[in-house]
Amino acid sequence: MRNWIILGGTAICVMAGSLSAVEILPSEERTNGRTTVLSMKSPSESASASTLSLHTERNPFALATVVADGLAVTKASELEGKVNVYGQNDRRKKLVVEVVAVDDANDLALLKFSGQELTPVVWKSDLDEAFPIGSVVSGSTPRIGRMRIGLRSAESRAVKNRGATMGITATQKMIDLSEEDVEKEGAKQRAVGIDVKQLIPEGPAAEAGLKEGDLITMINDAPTLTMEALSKVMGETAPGDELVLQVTRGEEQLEIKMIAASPSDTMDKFNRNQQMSGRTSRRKSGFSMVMQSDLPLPPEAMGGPVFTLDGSAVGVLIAHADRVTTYAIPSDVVQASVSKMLAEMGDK
Amino acid sequence: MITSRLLVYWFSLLVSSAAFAQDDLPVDDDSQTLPDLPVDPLIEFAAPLEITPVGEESLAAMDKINTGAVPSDEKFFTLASDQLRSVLDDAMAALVCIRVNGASGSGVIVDKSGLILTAAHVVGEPGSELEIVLLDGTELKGEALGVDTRTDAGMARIVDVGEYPTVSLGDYDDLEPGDWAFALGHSGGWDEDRGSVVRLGRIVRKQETTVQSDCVLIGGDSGGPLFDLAGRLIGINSRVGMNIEFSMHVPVSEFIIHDKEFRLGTAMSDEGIPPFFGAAVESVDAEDEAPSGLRLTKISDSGSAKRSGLAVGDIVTHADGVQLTDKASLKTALDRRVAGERMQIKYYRAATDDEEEINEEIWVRLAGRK
Repeated sequence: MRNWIILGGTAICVMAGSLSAVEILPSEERTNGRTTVLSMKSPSESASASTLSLHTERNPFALATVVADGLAVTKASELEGKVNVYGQNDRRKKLVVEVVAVDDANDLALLKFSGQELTPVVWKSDLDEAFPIGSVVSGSTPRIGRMRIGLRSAESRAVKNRGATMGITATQKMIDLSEEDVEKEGAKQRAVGIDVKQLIPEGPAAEAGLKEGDLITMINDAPTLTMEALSKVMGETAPGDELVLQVTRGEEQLEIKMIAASPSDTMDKFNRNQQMSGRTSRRKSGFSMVMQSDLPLPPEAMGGPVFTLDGSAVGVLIAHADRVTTYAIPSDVVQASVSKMLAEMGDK
Repeated sequence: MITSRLLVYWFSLLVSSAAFAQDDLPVDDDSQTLPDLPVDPLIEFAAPLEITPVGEESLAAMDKINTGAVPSDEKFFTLASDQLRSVLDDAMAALVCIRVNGASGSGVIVDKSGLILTAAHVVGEPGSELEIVLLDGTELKGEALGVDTRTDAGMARIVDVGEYPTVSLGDYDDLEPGDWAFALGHSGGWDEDRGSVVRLGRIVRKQETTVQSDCVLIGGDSGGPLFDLAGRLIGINSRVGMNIEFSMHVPVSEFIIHDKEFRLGTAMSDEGIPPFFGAAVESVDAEDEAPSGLRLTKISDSGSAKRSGLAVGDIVTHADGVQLTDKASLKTALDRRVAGERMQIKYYRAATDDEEEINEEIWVRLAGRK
């Protein structure tokens, strides 16, 4: 891919030499060019008034959307493993933040903040009627108030959890049955385990000492002999869960333990569309409902609001999934989620 | 979008100056006495590709949007978005997903008979069997027509007879850098819940055989359409750079210029590809019911004969209206065609216990010599 860009550059030089006038739109005037994005005045004002950035050890890692006085929501999974988290407003004044509730079905976390006044966003609801596909959206970069332009680009929908992975490729091992068994089982072959074909370097299986040619027969006390059984187990496993495998290696029977990983850390490294997408959000699946846009925003901009042209909010950015896809949790789902999290806090 | 192929396309753009290869084919002296080539009926199954003039109303709206100026505030985008949404449903209806050999790309229907414009690297070689998926998920049988590997332009058709939704064609000459546009495609493949994906962008740079926009594209968008804000097709998604705002499309003008060659299934490349009949033949004289001609004694797995369902023992009597007497006469007929085109064949197959005798004319899509 990199080679191609170099070749492309060479080509442009040659072509430019042979044509009298090659007109190129200056980069600052492109759809998300420096000058073009300045036109997003109302969305920029709303972003500055209602967004805080979240930092750890001086590094910004997410944005948060103000939903009520002293309360904001952000992308919950980005908070994992982060310590001494603090906030900043658009003028880089420091805020104290504290996570008070989490809604895993939408990957949203509710934050209490203090230290600076911020204005709650004004929600726009009933999006399918009021804000159809093809409507222009705007969202802030990690520099609050510097906007990007995109479209609501596809149907809203649930994005199913991708489960977890061990970081292996495998097939099911089949054995031929005796004539007697063929009659009994009504099949000529029987699956006897998961044959490990390849280990993804530094994946959980490789780290735990699984080897090519190993035969997996059980995972977490459940017989796992077919690919179907394997994908069922992995679909129900979350990244970070422990897996206990019973493995046949030659004559040996082994027990191997590992921590399941996210597909983002294993499979995606071998996915062409992910390879050409640059940095994407680590959790990009497992949302009860998303609104899709083509906003070119980095993972650090997730948690911020998505605005209409008049500066009202239609959702909260939740994942930059690939180079053409940025998901947001739609406004009505965010509001329901906030109410639910507030109620849970009240119960405690 | 396949990286190794992208390199080739880009590079070939650099060295390409040759006109369509068929013009350069040597003319055999004997051909003076041959009848005119019969016309493949597929050339007329859809109307010729033509630019559709824009209506007054759209023209006025477009003039307001494509002023070349940088938008000063968000009011501009209200205008652009309203205009885009007024044409989006019709544009989407004509979008198709094209599946071939486990890969998936996009295309757009431009004639109600099911004529599709797409990218050459999506459909592969002329005659490839395709699965065409409409927006609602209907799966139809398709066939690759002509491809131009110099520009990455490709044509295909839906084989299943029907009346399909279409888009009209824009005027590439009128397009200017800075014009607003939108791209469609089945990014990553057809997805029932998500539907197709629309992307906003501007025309960045215009060249004779390639147009650059900043609509973001990904694998699966290849072959999908790029529209102006009047909803007219102005390009076909072809390739991207690592920088997300670097997208290349084949201008619609390429399809209009080479309409006939695409329609005939020509594989256009820097080198003309000679056709490959793919059968061993022997001359036979008329005997009982059987006519004189060339009897097929062996059929290759990858040639035109196999593809069109001819079998060992069949007697081919005519090619493009010319009586076949020996191998040389078949070669003379083939030399007038290039791979991808269809040749009119008349053949005889003797009756068997189960099947009646066959004595018919068929159109055989010519495979390329590999």
